[in-house]
Amino acid sequence: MTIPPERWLLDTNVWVFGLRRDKAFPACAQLLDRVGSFSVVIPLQVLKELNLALTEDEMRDFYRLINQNSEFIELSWQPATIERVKFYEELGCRKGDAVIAAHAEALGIGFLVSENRQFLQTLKGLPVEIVTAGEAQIRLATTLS
Amino acid sequence: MQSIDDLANVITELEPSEQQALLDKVAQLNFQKGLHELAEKFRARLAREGLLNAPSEQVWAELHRIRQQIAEHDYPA
Repeated sequence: MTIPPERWLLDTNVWVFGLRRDKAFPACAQLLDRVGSFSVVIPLQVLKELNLALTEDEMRDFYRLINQNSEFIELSWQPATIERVKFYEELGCRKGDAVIAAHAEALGIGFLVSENRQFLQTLKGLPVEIVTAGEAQIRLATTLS
Repeated sequence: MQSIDDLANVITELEPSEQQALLDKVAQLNFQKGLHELAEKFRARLAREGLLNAPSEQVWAELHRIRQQIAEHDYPA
């Protein structure tokens, strides 16, 4: 398997709106349809959130899919450090968003996809670039063309 | 529909880079198929629970609640 060059973190809202095929966020489903042309890392906070949003049976299917495709989708069970969570809280993130930002930093993720507007606005100018699913698709088209 | 043997013969005629690209594509399509099946299962359950057409604001509120609940538990003030 050729490992795709781009390694992205998809926020929980992208997974949930994508799996719901939510009409208000069509780009989320479209982006999920492209997983494999970019790599995905799922950090602990997102896993825990998905665990509450999906049933046990649905999560079992999700884990099976991940395990069968570890070349382009990986799980990270490493907790974010409290120091970095506090750092991002002090920048204006809500605590939960701060955990996601800390995960992205620790995992060396340069590209975080989220529809969370507050998140998008708070973390401008940091090494972690945060974009919407629609913007991620444009980047993907540019990268692959 | 070609037999597996016929397909294998066609594939072995490809250049190694083309074979790799084909394997990558198959892996990606298999993942997409599994993800679509999961989405359908998720949507069917939401429909049974009367939540499939919930307004986005309601979904957002639930996602925010879940996020804060986990973060407050894992990183208490």
